[in-house]
Amino acid sequence: MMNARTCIFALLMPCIALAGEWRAAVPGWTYEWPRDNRVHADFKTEWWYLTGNLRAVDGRRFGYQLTFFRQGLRPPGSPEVQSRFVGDALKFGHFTITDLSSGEFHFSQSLKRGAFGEAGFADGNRLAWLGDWSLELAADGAFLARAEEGGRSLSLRLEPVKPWAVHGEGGISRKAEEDGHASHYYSATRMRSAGTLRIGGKDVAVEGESWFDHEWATNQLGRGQVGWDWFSVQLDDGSELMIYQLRRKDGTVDPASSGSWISADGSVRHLRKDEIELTPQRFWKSPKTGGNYPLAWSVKVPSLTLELNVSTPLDAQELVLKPVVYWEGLIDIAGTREGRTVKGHGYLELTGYSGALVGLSGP
Amino acid sequence: MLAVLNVLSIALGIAVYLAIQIANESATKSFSAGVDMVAGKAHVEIRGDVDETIWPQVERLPGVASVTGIVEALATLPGKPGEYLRIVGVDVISGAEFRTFELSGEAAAVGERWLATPNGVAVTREFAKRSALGLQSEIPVIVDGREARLVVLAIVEDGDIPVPDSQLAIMDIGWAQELFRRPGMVTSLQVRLLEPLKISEAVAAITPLAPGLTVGPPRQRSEQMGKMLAAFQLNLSALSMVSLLVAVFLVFNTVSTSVARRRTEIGIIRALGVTRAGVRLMFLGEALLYAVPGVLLGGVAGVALARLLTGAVEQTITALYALVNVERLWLNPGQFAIAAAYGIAAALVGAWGPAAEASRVEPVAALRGLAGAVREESQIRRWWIGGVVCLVLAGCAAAYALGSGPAWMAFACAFLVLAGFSLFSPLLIPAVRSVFRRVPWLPLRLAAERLRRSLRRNAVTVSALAAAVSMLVALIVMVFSFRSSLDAWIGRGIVADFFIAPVANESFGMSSFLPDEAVAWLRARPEAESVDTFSEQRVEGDFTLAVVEGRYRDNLSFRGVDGRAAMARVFAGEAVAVTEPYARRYGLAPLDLKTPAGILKLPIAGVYADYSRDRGLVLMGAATYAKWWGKPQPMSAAVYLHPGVDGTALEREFRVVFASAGQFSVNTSRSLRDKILKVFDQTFAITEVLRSVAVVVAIVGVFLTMTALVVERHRELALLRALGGTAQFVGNLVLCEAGLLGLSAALLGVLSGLPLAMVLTWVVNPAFFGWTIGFDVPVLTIVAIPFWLTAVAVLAAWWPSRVARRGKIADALRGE
Repeated sequence: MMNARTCIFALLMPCIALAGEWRAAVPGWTYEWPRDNRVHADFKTEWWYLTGNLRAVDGRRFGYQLTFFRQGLRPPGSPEVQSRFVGDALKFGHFTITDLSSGEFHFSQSLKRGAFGEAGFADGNRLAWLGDWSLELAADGAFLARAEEGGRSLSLRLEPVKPWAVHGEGGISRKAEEDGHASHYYSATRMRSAGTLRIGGKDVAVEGESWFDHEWATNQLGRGQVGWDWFSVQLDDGSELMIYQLRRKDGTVDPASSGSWISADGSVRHLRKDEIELTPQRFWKSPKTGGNYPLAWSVKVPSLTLELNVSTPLDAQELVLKPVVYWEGLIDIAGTREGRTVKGHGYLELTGYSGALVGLSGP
Repeated sequence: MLAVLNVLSIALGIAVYLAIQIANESATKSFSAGVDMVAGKAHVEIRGDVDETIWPQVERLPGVASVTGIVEALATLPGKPGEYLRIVGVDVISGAEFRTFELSGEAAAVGERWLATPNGVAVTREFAKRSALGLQSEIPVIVDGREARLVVLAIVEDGDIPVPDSQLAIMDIGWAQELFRRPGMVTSLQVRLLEPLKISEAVAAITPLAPGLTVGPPRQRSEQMGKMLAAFQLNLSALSMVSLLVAVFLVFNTVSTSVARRRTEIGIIRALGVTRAGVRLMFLGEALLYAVPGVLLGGVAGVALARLLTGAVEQTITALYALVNVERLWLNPGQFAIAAAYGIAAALVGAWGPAAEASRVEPVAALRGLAGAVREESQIRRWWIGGVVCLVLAGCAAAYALGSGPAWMAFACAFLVLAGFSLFSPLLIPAVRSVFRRVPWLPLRLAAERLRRSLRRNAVTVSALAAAVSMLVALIVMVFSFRSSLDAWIGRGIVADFFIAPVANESFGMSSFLPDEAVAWLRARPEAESVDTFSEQRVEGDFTLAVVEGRYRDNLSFRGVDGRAAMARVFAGEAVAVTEPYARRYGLAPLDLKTPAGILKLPIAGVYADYSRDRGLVLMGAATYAKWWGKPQPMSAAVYLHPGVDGTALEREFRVVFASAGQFSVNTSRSLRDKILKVFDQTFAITEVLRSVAVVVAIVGVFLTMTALVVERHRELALLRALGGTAQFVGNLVLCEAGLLGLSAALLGVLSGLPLAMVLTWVVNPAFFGWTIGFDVPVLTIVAIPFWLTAVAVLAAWWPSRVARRGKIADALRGE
């Protein structure tokens, strides 16, 4: 998967001079949990990514995104330093709340140096934290996620209801045709989520379904890539779909684009680019940035006899942050699979559509 | 012609006054702009050697919105003496809200590479251009005696405020700590509050977390600097006022000329019914009319002169107080307004007397062509009575300034001395005349006679020039006295065989540290009998804490107490010693020092002379400091060799081991003396400029006066020609008069300059700076003044004498 995260990293590292000292994502990785829930400090970039659909007891519907990014600054084995301010990694996160009842979208970014332990990633059960934001692993294997910003807060307990889904082939998820442009990538594609959302000055009990991504790599972006479209879809027949499409400068789609189909029993099927047909149906022009985002899609996977229409209940789910602008929001799904009607929800991520992203696709 | 002279007189006075004001203001503003650049958006700052672990504690305090740390230090540039980079280590993450500048370069510069590149810096565009640096260029620097290479990652651009100092370099806080080898410490913590007005509450909450540190709003630092500089700047302002005084004299002169020339005219308008008050107003109005272009011209010239002066002011402030880099002039409309007011006032004051004289012109007498010089004798008596009164008042002012009175009384005293002596010029001129009356050369004899004839007019001219000369003499004597005292102090105080310090400390005061290895290496050498170390530590309070380790060698000049006994108490940790400026400012009450371990109360064992700074200095033994603050890092070392040992080898080896790149200065007592005296000379660079101004005032004064005289007396000169005097004779006469005026002024100037120097040395210096200086006169230099000044006066009269030679006899005499 290629995300805004990668894009941010790309911004921060157009010159990957240090890459040689970091460990690259190569085929043959053996996944192990909970070990692989934790930090992989010898890889340069890593993220823990939660998105989800929540419903309050009063019927109101919400979406959320909570992401922790680690951007390695000094690879393991770098000369020792005395200053606590010289960090091994940059720590930052994004937190959004989509409130469909009010039509509001709240987004924020947290960036911390972590010099005093206020932000970090660790080998214990505290996986990642940024001040008041945190992601923890509970003793029973559930996740505890917490974030707070501008009087809004979210506290969730997330239980995976399906096995971990590893994406790609040979333990790596390819991001470009050239060798070495890949990541290690797995998801918890359906997590039963329950907790408290504080919004509008009131605590609201919420429950729903979340999607968890964890990805780590050293060298991802390929030459000439300008952005990507990423879909996570949870269908009501118990299956899930993940697709990413890498767009290149010349308007074509990178052949490394791919996806995964996770059946109701948890088995994962890798989808090659030529198995997927993605067609934008409707565009929305952001009044803030002028970015022209395709917010409705037709998704076809003939090999699965799957036809889906992707739409969003709220157009304005754009994160206007520095230095990166992208769209990531709640989507609704309607379509057919093997002739039967399916519905569902999920998250869509669109990067490289706002001017601010031009030229960010790597060296 | 007279109009031009009037305008020029005012312009000259205004220009010098304004230039000094602008230079002063620019220095102060440059300093505060430097503070604003780093701390401009903070509401409160914590300064000193701040333990970084209090950062999160402060962050958690109620009312605190955000906190960021700053690590600041200076780096010198090898091979470029005096050049430096002021490196400011900032946290781009927590410091985003505090930032007043922008960083540009590659998109990546402020992101990962910024945080990941050791010694990565952002430099100013101007510095990059000057040093031919691009992105990725390396800058070799010396930091605390160590060599390092900085890498240019970005350019510092103007943000909310313009970048005030091109020698500024921004760095990441972590890499700055690494570069300066100061992990765990920051120079300051900047704090933003949720409610910016609740500063005192915040300071009260923070202070217990920051023992021994300064907590307050950042502008406090600029204010303190302003206070520190106030005395120095007042000195300069007072001296610049002399130029206004000279302007008053010059205006008096030209208006008097105008009155003399227009006696007939005055008679006519009086006869036509204009009242005395009307005549007076006419002349005052005329002076005012000249003042306006004078003020405008002076404003322009003042800015130009300020450009020249700023460098000298900057040097002095850097040598005496704190590093200041003035890169632009700060023009304050208020200063121009004040200067304009002074200019107009000078014109009115100068014109007052002549205008009054004009108002007394009797119409009948004037129309008959009768001269009106009857009252001169009695007026002249009044002059010297006034002079005596001035001198008596000066004595009172001196006593008051040195006693309980405010320090500015010292300047009142200086002014009264100047004014008093100026009033004696009518006594001096007859004396000069009587000397030259018997000279066989006719033009000179005649000139001496004419000098006496319009005594009052000439007295004013002489007074004006004498005031300038007096200032010149006083400055020469004061600086000379100071230098001699300093030299004697060095001779006694600088007794070690070698002095070793990071080069940076020579350029901009004690700021860099000496590595422990270097001190240990020196101590281990068999040639070295002992190695003393010295450092300056920042503590709360408006003084410097100097920490010495070693033993006392009777090298400090204590006042009134036994130095050995006093220093024994200092080293035993029972007391501290203080410098004269400290004693003058704060008295001799025991000190309460805020330390991280609590309040340290120490009595003062004695007061010693220290000419190295005007800020108070408190001397403490290293053991005491270590007990309360922690081990002091030395900033310089003094090496004493065993008797009879040649230190050349030691010096050479030290250079090989530690100082291959010239990061340390190794001085013998002799070369250190030369360097201190060089710093002294730099410090008084500003007085050099003022001396030059005095000379220029003298030349212009003579020129203006002689031109006025030639214009005024064109009839008289023509008459001389008509009576058989050659053009040559008339020209010589003018030159002789100028020479005699110059000589009289020089004599009076020297006579009044010496007491003025005494006032500067004995009253102004102790009152403002607390330095005790022995009075010492550079006899030859002073004796030479009348000679060269006379010559200068003659030269200045060359053009007026040419005018006199070429005067048309017939035209001039038509009216006779």
